[in-house]
Amino acid sequence: MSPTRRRGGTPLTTDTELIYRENILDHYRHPRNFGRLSQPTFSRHEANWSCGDDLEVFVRLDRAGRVAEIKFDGRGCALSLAAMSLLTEKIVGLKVEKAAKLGLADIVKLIGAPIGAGRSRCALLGLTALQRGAAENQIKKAPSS
Amino acid sequence: MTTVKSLNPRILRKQFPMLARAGRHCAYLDSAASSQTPETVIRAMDAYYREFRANVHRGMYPASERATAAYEHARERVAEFLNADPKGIIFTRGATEALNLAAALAAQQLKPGDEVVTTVLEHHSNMVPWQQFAKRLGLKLKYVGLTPEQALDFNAAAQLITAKTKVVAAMHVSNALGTVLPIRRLSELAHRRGATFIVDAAQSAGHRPVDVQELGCDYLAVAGHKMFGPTGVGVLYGRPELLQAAEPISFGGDMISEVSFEGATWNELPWKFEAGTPNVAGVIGLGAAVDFIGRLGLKNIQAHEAKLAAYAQKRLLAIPKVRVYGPPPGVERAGVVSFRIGDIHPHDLTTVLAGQGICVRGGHHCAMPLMRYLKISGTTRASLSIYNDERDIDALVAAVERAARLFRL
Repeated sequence: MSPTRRRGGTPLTTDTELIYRENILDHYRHPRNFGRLSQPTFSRHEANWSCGDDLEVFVRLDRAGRVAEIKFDGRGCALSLAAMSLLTEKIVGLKVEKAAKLGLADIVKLIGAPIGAGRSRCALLGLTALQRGAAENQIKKAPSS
Repeated sequence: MTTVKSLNPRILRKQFPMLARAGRHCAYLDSAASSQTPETVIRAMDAYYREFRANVHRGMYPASERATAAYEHARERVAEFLNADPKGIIFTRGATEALNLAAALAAQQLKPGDEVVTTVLEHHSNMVPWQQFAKRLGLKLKYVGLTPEQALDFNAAAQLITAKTKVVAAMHVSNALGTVLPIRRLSELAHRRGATFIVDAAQSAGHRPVDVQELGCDYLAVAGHKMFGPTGVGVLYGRPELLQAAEPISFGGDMISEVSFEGATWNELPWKFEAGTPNVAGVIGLGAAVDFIGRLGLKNIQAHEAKLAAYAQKRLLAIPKVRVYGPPPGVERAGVVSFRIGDIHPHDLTTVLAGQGICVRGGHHCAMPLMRYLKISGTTRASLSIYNDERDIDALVAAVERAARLFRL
């Protein structure tokens, strides 16, 4: 992804900069569903030490196993926070099993820009917390043999 | 060897294939992570693979003899480069392996309750081995902190290094901040207390003179790939008397003298610590890198990097909301400039910069404890070499300003 350069040398918007569009920066500066739930069905903390990113996800499920409420707390780069913010908007009302099946391609769709290999862990941090939390909840729920 | 009078990055860049190909579309400012490799180094390794590709220290035929001669010649070149006895030059996979080996050898002399003093600046590879040995052997590990100007707190070092201190391990130049440590003075402190002194020279070798006699180190680690050599090769210098007394920790071919079913005796120095077939091409490449550096002159390299670092620091500080870490203007700084701008996360900034053809590193720079000590998640780091000039810095500054606009700072 090399920058496109105008004749005058001023670079046009590059692919990487698509990540930081107005809408994404807004989700970063004002993340939706930011905060904590006092009585979640499950919660999960996930950190990406190489970035210093650190998120905790709280999920409340309804009786049908759908995501009734989701909140997240923590700190991170624009990509990890915006991705999580967008994700929380998308999955309310979804069956938790279905939400946990989302992957990088879905995050790329939400962000609306290509995400390089070096940044995929940032983009996936919140989703990973959700997936691991859901898996732990599944185990907890399962009748012990 | 004749040394050039001064460095011309524009001409030098042509000797580095990736930079020559990329032209001005790439400002490579990540040499602290890994420097580029010049043609002469690539050619030296290529010649080995094409002309005398055989194992060393074994064959009686010409190709093997030539390989052995080239390998051992590189050792002599490296020894001369560090002003060391060739018997003390051990080739390793890199500085990390060299530091792990130094720790393992020094630890052979330690017992529970002994103290090891290192610094908060250290790269993980000069800190984690000591945390592990401290756990295994019951050692006490102490860290020397920084002054408010982010220099090593030498007074604190003088207090922490006591008669109980058996090892002092410190880096020469901080890869994260560009700080230059007072190695000679630390060495005197350590030796006055009878401690073994280990130096991580990964960021200094090839950038400024590194003389093991003058620095007064017992062990010193070098990374080949950060001084124009190939990846996968490094050096541990060990004072021959210490190496003589130490037991090898890796066993196999080449390091033995005689083997029976009952046991084995060890080869002479330095081969006692080089088990198995070494990285022959890598070592030959490193020898060529030492020659390359010799032609440019370490003083020239040091002056060029210092001047450019000061320029980068000045230009970055002129951008609103930029904070530069490490030595303040006017204090000696190696070719590393670490900074943050506003609340932009280093990984977001480096992503935007990458889009502008700026190759820099963002994050903790393998110094997580240091970042925590400084209460930041990380920095964006521009690191310099002989092929960089003011135009690279100008491109960096323009891209940082662009990122600031993008993030509405």
